[in-house]
Amino acid sequence: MNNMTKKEIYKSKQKNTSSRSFFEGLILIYCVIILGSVFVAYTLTTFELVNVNYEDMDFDAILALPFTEGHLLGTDYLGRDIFNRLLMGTQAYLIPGLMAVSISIIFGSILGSLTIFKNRGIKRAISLSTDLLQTMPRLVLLMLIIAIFEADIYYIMLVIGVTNIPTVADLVSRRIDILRDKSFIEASIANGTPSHTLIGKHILWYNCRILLIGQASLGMAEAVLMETSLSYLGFGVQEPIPSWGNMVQTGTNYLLQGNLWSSTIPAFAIMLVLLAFYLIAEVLIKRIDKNSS
Amino acid sequence: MLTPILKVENLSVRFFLEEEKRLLPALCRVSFHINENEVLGIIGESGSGKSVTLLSILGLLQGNPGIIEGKITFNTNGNEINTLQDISEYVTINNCETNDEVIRKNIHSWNKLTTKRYSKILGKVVSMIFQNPRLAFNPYYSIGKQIRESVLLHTKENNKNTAKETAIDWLTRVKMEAPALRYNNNPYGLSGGLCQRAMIAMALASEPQLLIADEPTTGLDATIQDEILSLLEELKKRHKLSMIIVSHDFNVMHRLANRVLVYFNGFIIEEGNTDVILDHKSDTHHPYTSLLLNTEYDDIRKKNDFSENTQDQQFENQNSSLNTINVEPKASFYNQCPYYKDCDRITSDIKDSCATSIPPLVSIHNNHKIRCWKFA
Repeated sequence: MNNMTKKEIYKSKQKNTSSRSFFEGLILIYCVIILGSVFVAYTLTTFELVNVNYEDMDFDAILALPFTEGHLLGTDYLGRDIFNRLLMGTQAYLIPGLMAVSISIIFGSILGSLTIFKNRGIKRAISLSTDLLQTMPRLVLLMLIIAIFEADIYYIMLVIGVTNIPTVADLVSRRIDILRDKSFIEASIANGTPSHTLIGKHILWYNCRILLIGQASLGMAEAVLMETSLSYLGFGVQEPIPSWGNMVQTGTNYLLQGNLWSSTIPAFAIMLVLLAFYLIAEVLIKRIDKNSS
Repeated sequence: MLTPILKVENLSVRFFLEEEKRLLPALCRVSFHINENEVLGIIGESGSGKSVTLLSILGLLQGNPGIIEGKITFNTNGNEINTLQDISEYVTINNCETNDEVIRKNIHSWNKLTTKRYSKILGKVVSMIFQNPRLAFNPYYSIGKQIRESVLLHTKENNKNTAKETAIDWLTRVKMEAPALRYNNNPYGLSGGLCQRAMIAMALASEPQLLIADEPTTGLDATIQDEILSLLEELKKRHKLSMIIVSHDFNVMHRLANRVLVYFNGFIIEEGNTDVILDHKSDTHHPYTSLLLNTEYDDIRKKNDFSENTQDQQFENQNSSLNTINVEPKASFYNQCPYYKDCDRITSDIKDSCATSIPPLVSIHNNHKIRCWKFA
């Protein structure tokens, strides 16, 4: 260290920070590209801005390879265009997933912020329900719900959203505990901040927003995973309406016949989207750690 | 006769220990008042009830299981608000012998009543400076905006831009360097002294009638302590502040306070003007106050020439003070009184009453009151 001049130390520090931000920038670019294209695909298909022929069967090109003429990513066993079906498949999870996430974030943060009033009942209910949900696999619970009611994507997402409420409430209440230890809550009550400003502005917005956005990103990833796996098992979106899950399922029948693409392309798409959501969550959590230390 | 801003009469606080099913007294019939332009100091060891007094004045004890009795009256522009009025209706005390729940408290209505009453008081009449300023700010929100928020909430200012100007003005008044730049700083970007200045600015920005400072200089360096104290002195002169200052530092009392209360185990044991209480050469003191003064002023310790025995005894006494929390408050000081053996008025009557009952707070001279059987 002695050989290093101040300038060098300064330079190395600068290099460190810049490389970290460079990496974060790469992640950001990746996430924007992937999630942006998902969103564009969704708007294109729902508002029918582009004519997407996801049901038209091309009998001349059954199980065609990618980059064949007219079919960018090839076709499946009925000769339907995989690229068009991928675009159409975004409808299966985007809005239902956002619904699930918003249910869990809104109700979870309300429930969690109620613990500010030192009510033991709410805290007990939160911890009990998190424990209870951990004992039961989410997929089994969803199948139970499907068996009782019907295989509708909105029911499934409602269940995912409701079962995520205790997790979010737990996060918010832990944050409140930390602030209480720091005597911030006591101080702001003593200085006459009304409780709705304290909860809404100071706790949820300034102290929990990064946490909640990170949690929303994780919740979105989970919703996508649940939707695709249920569709793969045949409980979610039903054929001929495409979902990335049932596209993988139909493709697997032709995997051993030598056609890799019709199942691996939608699987790859699922992976890319999940990765984007997880990376967002990780970057945000790292930022929280950096700030709190 | 001035009408006091705050009048506390017979305030007693008892906490309920759920495991042992008994009540723990934290404050016993404390009475004092604060006039305008007056600074009241409260001094005492930790666990003597200083903070409990402040918290009960600010209504922050509401959710805890326990009993608060007495009267806390705020006088705001001629309106008197007693914040503890009718509050005992929500608490029912059962007999301790039957092993049921001893205290049943309707916490919901209790909270509702206190928040309704304190909504007019907190921030507008009283505001508080906290012991550790960095922990009392919102960590993710710039200090300037927090000050601006308190300006917008508690004064007639409604415009955000002018409120920002007043916030910067308050930051300059507490002698913050480059206040316009500091306005955008988050609390963790400030040093301890600067943060304490910002805390003072925030407490003053709501233009309260009474400022409460809970050990304002404890976590700071000696030089910064000095700066903060001189700042408070200056603000006190310029803005005619009424203050309650809690501290265990004699220097703070000496520089700021007009009157001093000495606390011990939830009792006020001595009360008087600062020069009377801090006069370490005087003999008319409660034994605990003289003990405190002895620890502060070295010269008097040498002068009194404590023998080794008494020092040992003192050490034992300090150890026993750790156990005071489990001891009934009646006999506790009797155990610790260093003058107990040499007490010149120690007849058998006084010895008995010293061991068994609480002495009354006796007025000795002008404002000077002492709670000791020696002066009773």
